[in-house]
Amino acid sequence: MNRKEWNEGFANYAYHHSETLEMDRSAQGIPSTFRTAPLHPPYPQNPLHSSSDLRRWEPSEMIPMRSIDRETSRPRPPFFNMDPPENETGCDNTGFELWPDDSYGTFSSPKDGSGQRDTSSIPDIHQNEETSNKEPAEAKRRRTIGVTLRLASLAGLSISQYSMPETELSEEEKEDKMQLIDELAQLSPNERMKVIQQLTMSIDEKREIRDQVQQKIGPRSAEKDVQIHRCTQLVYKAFFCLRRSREIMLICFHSIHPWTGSLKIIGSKFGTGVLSYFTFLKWLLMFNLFSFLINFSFIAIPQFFDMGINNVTFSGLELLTGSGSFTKTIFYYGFYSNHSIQASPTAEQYNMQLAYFLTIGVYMFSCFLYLVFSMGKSFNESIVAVGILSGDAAKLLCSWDFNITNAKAVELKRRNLSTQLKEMLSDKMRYHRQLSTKQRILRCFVHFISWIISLGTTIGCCLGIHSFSIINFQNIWYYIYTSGRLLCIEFLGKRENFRSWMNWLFNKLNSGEEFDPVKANTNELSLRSELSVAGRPAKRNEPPKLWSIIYKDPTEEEMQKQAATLLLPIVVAIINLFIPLFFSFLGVMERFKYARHEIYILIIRNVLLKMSVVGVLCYYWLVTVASTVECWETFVGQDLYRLVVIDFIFSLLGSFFGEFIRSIMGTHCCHQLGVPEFDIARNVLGLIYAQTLAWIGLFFAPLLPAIQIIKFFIIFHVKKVSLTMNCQPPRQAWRASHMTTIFIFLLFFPGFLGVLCLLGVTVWKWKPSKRCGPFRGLNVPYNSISHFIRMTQEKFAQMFWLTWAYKNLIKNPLFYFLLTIIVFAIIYLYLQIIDGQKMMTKLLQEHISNEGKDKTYLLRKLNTVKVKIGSSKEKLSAMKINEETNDDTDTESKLNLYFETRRAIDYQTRRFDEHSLAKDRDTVSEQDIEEPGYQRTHEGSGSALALAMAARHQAEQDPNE
Amino acid sequence: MGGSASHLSKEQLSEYQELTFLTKQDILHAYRIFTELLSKDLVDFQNIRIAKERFCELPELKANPFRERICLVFSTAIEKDGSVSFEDFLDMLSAFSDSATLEIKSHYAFRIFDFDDDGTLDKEDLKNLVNCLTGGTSDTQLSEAEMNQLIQNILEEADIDKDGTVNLSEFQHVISRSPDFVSSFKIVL
Repeated sequence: MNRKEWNEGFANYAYHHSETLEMDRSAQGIPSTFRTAPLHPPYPQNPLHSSSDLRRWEPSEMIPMRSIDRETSRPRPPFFNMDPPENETGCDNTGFELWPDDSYGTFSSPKDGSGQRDTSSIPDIHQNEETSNKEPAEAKRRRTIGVTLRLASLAGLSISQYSMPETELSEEEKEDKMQLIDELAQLSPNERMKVIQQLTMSIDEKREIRDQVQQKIGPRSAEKDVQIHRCTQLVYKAFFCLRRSREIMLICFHSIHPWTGSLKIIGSKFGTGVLSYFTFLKWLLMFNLFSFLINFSFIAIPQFFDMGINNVTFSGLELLTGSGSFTKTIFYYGFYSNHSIQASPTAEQYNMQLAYFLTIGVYMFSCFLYLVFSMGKSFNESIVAVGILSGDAAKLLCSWDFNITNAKAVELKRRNLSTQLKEMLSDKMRYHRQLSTKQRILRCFVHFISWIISLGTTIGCCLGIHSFSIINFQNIWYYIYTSGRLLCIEFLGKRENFRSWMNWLFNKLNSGEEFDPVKANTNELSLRSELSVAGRPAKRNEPPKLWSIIYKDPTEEEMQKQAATLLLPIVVAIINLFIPLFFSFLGVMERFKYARHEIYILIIRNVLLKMSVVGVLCYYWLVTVASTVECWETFVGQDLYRLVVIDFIFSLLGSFFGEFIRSIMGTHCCHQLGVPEFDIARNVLGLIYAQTLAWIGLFFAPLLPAIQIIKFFIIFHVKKVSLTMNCQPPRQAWRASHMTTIFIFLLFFPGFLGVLCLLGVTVWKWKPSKRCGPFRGLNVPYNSISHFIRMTQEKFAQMFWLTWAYKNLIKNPLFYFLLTIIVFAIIYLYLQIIDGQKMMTKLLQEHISNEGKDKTYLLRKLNTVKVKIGSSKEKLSAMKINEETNDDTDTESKLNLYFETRRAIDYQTRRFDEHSLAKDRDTVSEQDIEEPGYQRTHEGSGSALALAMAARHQAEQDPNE
Repeated sequence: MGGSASHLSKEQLSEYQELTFLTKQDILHAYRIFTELLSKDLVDFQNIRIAKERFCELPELKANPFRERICLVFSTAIEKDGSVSFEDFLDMLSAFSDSATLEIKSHYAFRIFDFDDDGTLDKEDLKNLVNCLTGGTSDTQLSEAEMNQLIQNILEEADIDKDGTVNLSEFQHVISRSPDFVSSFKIVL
């Protein structure tokens, strides 16, 4: 058998128990002779007797230590006698009735005597206890809590479950309990509490166990405790205080947290699918809260000490546009000063440049780590754990959502479930019917066309936004403030010349020269020569002058200008609102075979659209705006502010028109429309888009998270109301955790990483504006760090390690190179480990299926043996009667026949016993490998299954570490 | 918090906290709800049991198709009538709470689904389960053929050792593959 190699070769933890394993094996060798005994008839017609004999016959060598006296002194459980002595299959069931505490899995009620019970349970449990008793103390210590837990939970089951009054608690159960208490006594108080919490027993039983454990360790631990207290009293106290304060904080948080109730209501009516949208929203809100706190305390508060005077009046339109009186506030990049700030002449200096750079950097870094970890965790939980897509069983067994408590919702959920099940079943039946080639080609063609259409739409939208942004930008920047007056300068030349004209103008302005329109007019010739349009005749469409200057009412102009800035965000928001609807329509037209595919394809298309729109906008900001506008960071910040606000307004409008009006239409006008469903995917993608904008804005408008917080807060409530008033739960089952994983991934991959790239380029490569912001005067914002390092090198000699670290780690490509190599090596190592574990899982799965086959085979064998025994017995008794009646004739031949039959029976029974023995051994060895006492479902396959699960669990854990 | 002059002593509170996954707030909240269900103020609330029918009127359970099973599983009454004491109630809340592990949740789910209490999910149990899930009305109920097909599918997938029933470890194996279970097997008061 390859079992042995398997024990020693595969599972590392098998080594821990290898000695016990051997012992078991040697012990196993002996009983085979005894095992045949019970079926020899002292009282062959009474299986109860035979099995109790089996108990007595068991050799004492097999049962070490305590188990011995248990074996001998075990009283027969009272209800054992009440069992029906024989049914058709009674024979193989008797073993169970003797063991009333057999764990949950194999306890057999008289009702289901189907003969399909596992026969290996008796030796199984023996071996199990044996090993755990033999185990050396260290090995016991090595046990994880999980083991104890499992054991305990099984013990608990047997106590609390299945029609066993307390009075009938057998010795066995008490034994289990004692063992559990022993194990608990060895744990530290904290661990013990956790284990007790995780027992699947009622409180009463838990309390009993706890008290017994306390009794057991009582005096000893009291001394110990005192000692510990003396040693580390302070640490304990601090720990206790910390925990208490945490508890109090949690209480406060819970009491002020207004959303638990809302979430409960949503969950109760719409189930976990819709709930996942709201929890995602809440999660993002926490993100923003964190970033707001960081930015506010490290960037904004210091800046308060160095505020200029803002005398632009507030007109109200600023709330929409973010410009006007908002421009010169701490809201935007441009307002921050580039020098060190001192609260008072004596106070320490606060280096604003460094603070700005490091705050954003640290926030981005912590976001990165947090996202990676939460992504890894949720991947681990949902995708890896699912493995092969689970089918009906999982769907059905886990389908009920206990969150739903609303009667109507329950009814709806039931109906949905039943239609889903019906659909699924009919799908399964139809599944074998293949599509014809023609149909398949047609289907592919339809998919292809719709991909082309959607990609074309995306590209079209991007191009449209690009050209629109440039045109819009030109319109805006005709208006220039100079020396307190507003000049409206209309650029009449060709658009290609616009940028160089603007540059010229700004150079003039920046050089401190008063912009005098009259002078400018006279200067036009020189500009023309600069633009190399002079000297050649004006083309047909070219105006004779490059600009015309119109004096206008400044306030009115200002309003117009602000309104004009809103155009671009509105266009973007319209695209974001309507194109996804178009995509959904396309998806419906495509008629996907699985709803799942439709959702995935929709998500891909929507993400492509949103991210390319953001990409085009970034290009516009970094290339067009950055090279033209004087304080371009502030301008970009304002643009982002507008985008965020307009996106907010449109999402409100969307929920008003898309849900409210739609539901009114559905309920009153045309009934076939029905009440709209809440489209989770589209809504979540909207959130991801909004969050991406907020992250981009972090550098340009550090307080943008505040707006985001307000926005998310309002959206939460509006969506909640709109949902409960207008929507019905989604008809399709929503695999919430799976989708949440995908959404977190999307938030990370195009969202966060894109933002990182953008900010990286801005910080390392792009020239900051010359006249505003914390980085004015630098070539790139990153230089602030190198300046700081140089300064510390000069001023503080004791900070040499900082300079050293900067030079050797941050500036050194070799360091990154090494780091990358190490990371790759670790990844490779883990990949290999995972591969190995996958292989092992596969082997174990094969093992389980073989085990199942073995079992059915043995059962069949057992049945045939039983039938044969029965028939031979009949023959035998018939013969005996015959012998009695006419004993004179050919007795010898009959005797021969009798012995032959006996031999046959013996042979059969022995063979059967050998079989069951072999099986027992396997079972035992598996359990030993795993950990003794780990799983006491007395089925070989059960324990192998548990082993496989444990292995897989480990495999999943590893990549996470 | 505990301003409503609860009869829960401090020791009891901390004991319950130690023995369940519930926080202090949860326990106090549960206490309030429990006394409301009792509809009279009783000093000896710990030994009082609420009848199954009364307990199922709890808004969190009222519409739940498995409410009776839940009562029966968590009840420690000797008469097996599904009546629920305060501690049983706490047990239930603890198993359905956020902090309970997958192991515990799947264990109790298994017991809830095991209608005949025989330790395995056999065909009858699965049939009962499907009927509970789809509701009793004739338009939602599955036909005999569909039911058989469905049960066969389930057993094919879940019954690893092919003994015709789903036992606890097989059930837990299935559950471990559906990550939504933890979030859906939850009752919040």
